[in-house]
Amino acid sequence: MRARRNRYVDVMLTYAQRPVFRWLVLLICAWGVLCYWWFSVNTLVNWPWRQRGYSMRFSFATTVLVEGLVGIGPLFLIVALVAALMSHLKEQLRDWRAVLTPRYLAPHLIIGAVFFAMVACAGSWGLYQSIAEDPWPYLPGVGRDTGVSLLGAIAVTLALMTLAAWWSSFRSAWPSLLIVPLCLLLMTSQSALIILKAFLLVDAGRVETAIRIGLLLADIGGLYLLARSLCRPGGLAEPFDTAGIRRRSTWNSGEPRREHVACVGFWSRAAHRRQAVLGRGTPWIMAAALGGLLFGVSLLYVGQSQSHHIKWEFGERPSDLTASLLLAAIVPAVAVAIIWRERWATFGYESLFPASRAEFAAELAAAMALDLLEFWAATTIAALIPALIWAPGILLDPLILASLLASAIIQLLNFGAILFAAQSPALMGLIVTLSALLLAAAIPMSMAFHERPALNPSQLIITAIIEGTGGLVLGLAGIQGWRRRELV
Amino acid sequence: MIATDDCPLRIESLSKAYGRPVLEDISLSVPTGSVLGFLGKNGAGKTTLIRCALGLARPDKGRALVFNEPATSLSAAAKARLGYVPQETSLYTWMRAGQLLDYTAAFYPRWNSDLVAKLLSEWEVRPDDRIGKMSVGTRHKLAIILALAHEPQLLILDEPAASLDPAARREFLKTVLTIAADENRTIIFSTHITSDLERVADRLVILRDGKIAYDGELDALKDSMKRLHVTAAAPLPAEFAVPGALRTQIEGNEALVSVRDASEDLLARIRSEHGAAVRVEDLNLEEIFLEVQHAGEA
Repeated sequence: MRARRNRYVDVMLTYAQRPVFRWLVLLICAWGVLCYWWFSVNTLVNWPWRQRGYSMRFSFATTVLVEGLVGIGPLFLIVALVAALMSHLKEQLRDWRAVLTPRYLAPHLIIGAVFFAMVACAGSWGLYQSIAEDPWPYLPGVGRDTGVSLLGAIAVTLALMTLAAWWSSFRSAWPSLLIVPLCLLLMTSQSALIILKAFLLVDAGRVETAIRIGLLLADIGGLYLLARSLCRPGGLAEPFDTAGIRRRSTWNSGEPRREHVACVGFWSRAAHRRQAVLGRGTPWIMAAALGGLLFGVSLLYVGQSQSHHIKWEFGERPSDLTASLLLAAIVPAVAVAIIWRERWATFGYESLFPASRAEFAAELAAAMALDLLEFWAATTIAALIPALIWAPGILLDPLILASLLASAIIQLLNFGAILFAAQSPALMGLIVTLSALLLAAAIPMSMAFHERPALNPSQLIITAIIEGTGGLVLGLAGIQGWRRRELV
Repeated sequence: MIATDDCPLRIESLSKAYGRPVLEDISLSVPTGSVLGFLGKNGAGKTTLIRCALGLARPDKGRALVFNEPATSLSAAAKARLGYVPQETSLYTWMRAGQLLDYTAAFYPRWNSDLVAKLLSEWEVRPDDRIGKMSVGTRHKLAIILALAHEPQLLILDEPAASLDPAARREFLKTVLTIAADENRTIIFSTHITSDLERVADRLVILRDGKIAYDGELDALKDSMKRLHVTAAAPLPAEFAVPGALRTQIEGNEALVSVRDASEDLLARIRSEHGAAVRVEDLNLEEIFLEVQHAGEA
């Protein structure tokens, strides 16, 4: 018989034995090595520019990659670790064992807390080091002429961990990785400055900091609302719960039943299929929340737009208020992908409704395209709210018009990629797809809005057309896949 | 227009593997008007066979034909004649029952609203209740109502009564019997509840390790399969064996033998060879199932 070991050691071993933690350790090591090597590559690539005496870096691609790795990598790793910890703890504590097994609870809770503390400490330190070494690409105005504080890094780490843990506590843990890109989107331009000044910059006054901490909390609240509106089952409160069917059900007692009318025609059936995933008001409720958030943020930002380092970073470009256009390119993809994933379990059942497999696949694709279109329209209007209020004239700027057009065309890529990826219910596939879509939208937009633009409006549209064409190809492949796909 | 066929479901040499073989060379045909029950242990392949028959899973070999069409590419007209209740009811949890009924009805050219209203009332499913908040049993009742509402000619039910309370199960079986009374309807269902099968099925398929261990009339099986109580004057030898025995348990001068075909010839032979008295006992379906399973494992 095996000698009895310490319970705490046994609990700790459950972490070591779980493959996901081994993979994460491997990923952290790989991230460190990759950062080091890519940093060297970036230095070499930019060497000629430095030799000519330029202080700015000009190789955009390598610079974005190195800054992405160094700046965003720690955020993803922190959230991934929290997601893994939460999912491990949930498995250990959710059933009867936690209540009925003697001396079960304390070791599991204490070891879990120790690991959380380790992630918080290591994450904060890693984040602080990465910011102090090199500024984030998404957080303008930091690093070059301002200092950063370790306390701020701790605060940001804890905020991310709290969000990830909160999400993981009631839903599957891994989609919490999407918190990072969603945070980054909200941290573009205006929001970023608030977060930076609230937590990272050492020269912010007390009153200013207090106001901005309040706004950061509102930011997190906005994220909460966004997540709530995206997650259907058990998520939406009663007033939002239209479930797509406005008319009263005819099955209520005492009401005469309507004569049965079947849905005929491709588009009417496709529109009918949308009702299973999307409440009619959802995109507009989400857009209203987003518009309100952006307006609130811009309200604070506009009064400060002439401060020294903001001007230095953005110059006089109208992009200050319109960087949020990126939201319109990205948010619909995130929303539709998550909502459609929730529907996966019912696809098999629904495929048996009268329609051939080919019709079923085409109707699903059309329903998803309509969802995406409505989300894009709603989000675009929301993203334009600050510009409409503060500087309506900039809407005639060629770059803004090109961005709007590009954002619309990029939805084709979103459509194709999501339809293709939706064939599998695997969470990791969804996360990889959405991350790729974020980059596919963010890179050309960032290049166009950069202080030294690498893309002019025409090139931005051409890039979007190339991406959109790729999306159409993916979409067609997705429809073919859905025709043959085994369903549960 | 689909040509009428005597067999709404035909399965031809169907095999399916998920890493290991789940179904091996299954062939069967289900004639119109029959009530076929699938019986098998967990993991025997019942659900996989049903999923292949519906086109939800693709067989590795062989094929399934529903109304003479390949199950993997059923037309809308064929699906309109097909009803299915899955083992795990994946309904839209955010909808209310009435909303789901309206949503589903819109896809079907034919929908019996009176039947739906009657079943909702009899089975106490409230249209205003949100599906996510329903009990598992109520959700299953709703799934059954959805499957019956368009009056399918082929109704496939995967463990339909497992989560129903006794009263609802009785009502459900009554409904199945009513449907079965229509000669144009065919019902296929898998279950672990052998008493349900005995009540409604006229034909039985027992699956064991992905193969058909028995396929035939339920009554014929019950008539032929018996347990023999053999009592000899002297202790029975260890090598005591009865031809066609599924299981033999010997203890002293007594033996219990389960046989598939308890003919008078067999009984006479045991009596004469061992000078033993033989008492014949009828078996219920549960006992028959256990004997068949034991024979397979032995």
